[in-house]
Amino acid sequence: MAFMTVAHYLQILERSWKNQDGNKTAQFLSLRHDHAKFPNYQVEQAEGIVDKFLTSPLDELVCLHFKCLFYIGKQDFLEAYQAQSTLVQCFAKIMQSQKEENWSLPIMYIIASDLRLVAQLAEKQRVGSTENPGEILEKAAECLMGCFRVCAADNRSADEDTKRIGMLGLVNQLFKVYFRINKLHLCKPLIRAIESSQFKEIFPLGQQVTYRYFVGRKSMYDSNYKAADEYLTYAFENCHKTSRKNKKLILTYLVPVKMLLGYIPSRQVLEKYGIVDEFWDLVKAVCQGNLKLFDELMDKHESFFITSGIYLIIDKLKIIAYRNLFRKVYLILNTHQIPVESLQRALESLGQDADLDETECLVANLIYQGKIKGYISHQHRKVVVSKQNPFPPLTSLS
Amino acid sequence: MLNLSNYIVGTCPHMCPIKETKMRENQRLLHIFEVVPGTERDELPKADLNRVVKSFSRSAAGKNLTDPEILRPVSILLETVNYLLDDIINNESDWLLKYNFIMDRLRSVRQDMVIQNISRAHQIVILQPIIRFHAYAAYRSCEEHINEFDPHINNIHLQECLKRLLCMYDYYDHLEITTKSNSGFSSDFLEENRPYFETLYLIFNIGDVDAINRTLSIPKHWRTDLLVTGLKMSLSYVAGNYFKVCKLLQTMPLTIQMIMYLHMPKLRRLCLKTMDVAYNSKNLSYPKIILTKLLLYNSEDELESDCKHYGLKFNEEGICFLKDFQQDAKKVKSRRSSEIDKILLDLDLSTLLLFGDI
Repeated sequence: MAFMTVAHYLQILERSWKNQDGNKTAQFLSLRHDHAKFPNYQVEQAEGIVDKFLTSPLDELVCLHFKCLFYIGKQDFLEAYQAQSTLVQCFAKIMQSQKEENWSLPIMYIIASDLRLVAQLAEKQRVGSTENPGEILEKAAECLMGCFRVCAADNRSADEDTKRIGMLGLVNQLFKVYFRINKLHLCKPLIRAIESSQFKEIFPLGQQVTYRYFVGRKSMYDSNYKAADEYLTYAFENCHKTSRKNKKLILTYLVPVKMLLGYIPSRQVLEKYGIVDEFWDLVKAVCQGNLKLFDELMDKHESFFITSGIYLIIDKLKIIAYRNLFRKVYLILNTHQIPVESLQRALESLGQDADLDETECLVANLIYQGKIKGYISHQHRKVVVSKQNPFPPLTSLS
Repeated sequence: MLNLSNYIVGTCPHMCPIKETKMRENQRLLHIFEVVPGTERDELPKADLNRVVKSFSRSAAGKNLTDPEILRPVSILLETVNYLLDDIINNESDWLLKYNFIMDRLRSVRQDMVIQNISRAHQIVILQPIIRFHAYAAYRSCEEHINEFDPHINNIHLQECLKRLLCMYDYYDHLEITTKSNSGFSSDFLEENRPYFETLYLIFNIGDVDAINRTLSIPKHWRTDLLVTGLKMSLSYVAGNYFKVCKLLQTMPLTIQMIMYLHMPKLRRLCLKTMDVAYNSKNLSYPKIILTKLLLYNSEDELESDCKHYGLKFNEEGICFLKDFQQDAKKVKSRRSSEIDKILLDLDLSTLLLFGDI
């Protein structure tokens, strides 16, 4: 955007507000729009000029917007956060008074995500407070909940004018906050609200993708892998193909979930999204039951797994590697009574520290989970496997 | 909102503010540990000024908790902690009587600490013994009846203190990054126990995703052998490798073993449940003596009693797993370990609580 005088800017805003052009108004109230970087918009007290062009309630929003820009210019993100937070609260009230209309929802989306971004900056800047990391983000979430309540309570308007259609956009913002501050349990009521909503299927697709991505990750976190698979698969398949970064992100979670359920990703897919380094060797290690390689890869990619939040689920893939290793031993020995000692030796040769009892314990878990059919005889130190299909395909297990 | 000068600095020179001492004396609210010996049976027992300790009181409407006169400065708080965990704990009285007194008074120490927002270094020094106390109490009292000792409440305190301590540690990490130096800026003695308390937190929350993730994400130089073993334990627990958990546990410091004993009923339940399926056979049995050892039972009788509780059958030779594990049976109560108790007998409790067991 070329430089624009404040007066001109205010006129445009005034017109788009009057025309109920939510998208345009939203852009001009965004902290990420081009105008934000010009110093003439960074004003602490803008009432003087603003009141010449705008009337209530828009004037208040714009003043707060300028104030927020002012503090961002000064790199004081805590104050900027306060201003933006007041702006959002103020907007929630305006929205509540707008009966039977929902054109202003785009504005809500923009100021809500701006609030979250400023809160993140403030959180980073905040040095020296003793406790409650994430406190500012948590306050931001409360503020967003204010908007959410206004939207959720709008049940008198007709379907085409209802603000309830705005719920999902907000829920996604809230998810982003809760995931960042690690308060996943707070997602539950939001999920319930969306799942029971009559608009469940007609929310904008982009929002649905984001929503499914987060719910999928939450299910993964709760060890509910079937559900995680469903949500993440939807997100992956419906995510726009030009959003490669997002697709890659979804895949980071979908790949381990799928693997845990017994599906092996193709090398092409991993290559296409640039995660072949992180995952392909791992796929090999799991399939071959090569626990030594597995451990090395855990070490090598540790920080990637940790920052992506998939360390634990990757660690769980180990049991599949055990299964594949034990299956190999079974095929080599060609007997239905596998000595525990043979399994233990196989583990040992791959650098695993496990005595006979621990080996039995690993087998016990595999039998318990249905990944091996058979039973253990402790007295004979043998694993007696079923004559039929002793290692059923993982995908056949529910 | 972050202005440090907003915090009050206490001026109370005693373990208990005079006002409170008077008030409790008049209303006969003094604890037996707080009265002048010999006056216990008097109509109005007299307060022993050297032994009265400020009791915990909830914030409530109309109550001013921020009066400097009723807040104790750091030096007095430290003195109070030492008094409670050295003098009182070695007192000849009944353990639960002591526990309830100490718990309440330590809670008030923490309250004073928070209201004044005292320096992080001091918070670390104060929190560490309090954590050891709650950890010890959790173990020591785990066989008590619920009316006598509420493990849940004790655990809440323990968790709260641990989380607070970890926040303090995080702050030092933050300092190190922002000042770009690790030249002993954060005094070593404050952090030397860090791997130990990180491990305690990890094991107290064994199998918990957040706790594991936290351990994984703190700066790597904290990952000492101790913490690595703790991590292995927690991951093995998640993976169902219960025998490994028990094996590793035996290499742990005493307090961490004590904390793990609180989880043993859960661990044993899961293990028996898995074995019930995996060792299912009409002709076979699993030797009791071996399982007793692997799952760290004190005796075969204890194992038998658990088996009975979960509906498992056993004979002279061993346990017969026949897929009759009672899924709805609640886990049994925690038991103490005779091994640990034996060690505790020869140990000076105050030293353990005040200085730790490493």
